[in-house]
Amino acid sequence: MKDDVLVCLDLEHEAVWLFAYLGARVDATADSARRSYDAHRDARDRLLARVAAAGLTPRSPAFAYSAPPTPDAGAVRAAAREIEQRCATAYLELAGSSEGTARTFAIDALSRAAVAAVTWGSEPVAFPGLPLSPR
Amino acid sequence: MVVAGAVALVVGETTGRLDDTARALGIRPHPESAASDTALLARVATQQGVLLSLAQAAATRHPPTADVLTSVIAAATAQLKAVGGVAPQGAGPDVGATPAAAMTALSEAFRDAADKRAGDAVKAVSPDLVRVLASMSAGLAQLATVTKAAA
Repeated sequence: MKDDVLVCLDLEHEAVWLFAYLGARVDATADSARRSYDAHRDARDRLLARVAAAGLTPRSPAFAYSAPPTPDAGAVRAAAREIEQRCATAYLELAGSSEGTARTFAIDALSRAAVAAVTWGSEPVAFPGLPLSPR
Repeated sequence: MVVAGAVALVVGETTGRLDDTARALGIRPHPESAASDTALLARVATQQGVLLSLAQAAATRHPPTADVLTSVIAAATAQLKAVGGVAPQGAGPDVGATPAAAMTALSEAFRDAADKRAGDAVKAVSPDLVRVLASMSAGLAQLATVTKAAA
């Protein structure tokens, strides 16, 4: 569970950075990027509180992450779908390795990431986050 | 649809269904599963069958919804097969009188099912079943979002 929660936190740091980066570069998707930024900032802060309460040492966020250098709206949507799907996978692992309120938090975050992926244009799948999910 | 095919092989079995469900979805089964998990999985399969029959009835009654509902029904069918359920037979339940009403009703049904699966995932014992139900809940939330947007 300890590793899984830190992996989720790493991804939330990346998502916060990514949506700030994308939102500042493409006007057409700026409002959607702002909503995603707010959602991931909230998730990051909740994870930081959980990490601190568990006595874990969080890893520092990177200075920058991988992103399309000159994105258009299509590239923004693709990058958004990709980070949301990675978040869904990470939260699913956390759900399976945790209990109580941590599990509830992970299940809720998994659902938020899966719905966000659809909002950014992903096709719905039967089992978001699972390795062999059929459509 | 390799997953659905693999899972179909174990439909009808009780012992081992959970392990096979987990294995078919690419996660390593836990060596033991609780009796409560087996009962939970059976209840989930029954409820998923009802949900699928509602989606199929909406597509049949309102052909304009077919474009959206094709992927929705495919996902709901894959969920049903993965949990060992049986495809519904017959005319299906009553759905809304208009395409918009049918999609609204379907969205609400998916949302309700997503909430129920999330609650089930909290209560499940096996980490494998927790993952399957949590992921299924997220998938149902996606279906609720897609159908609501089309209403």
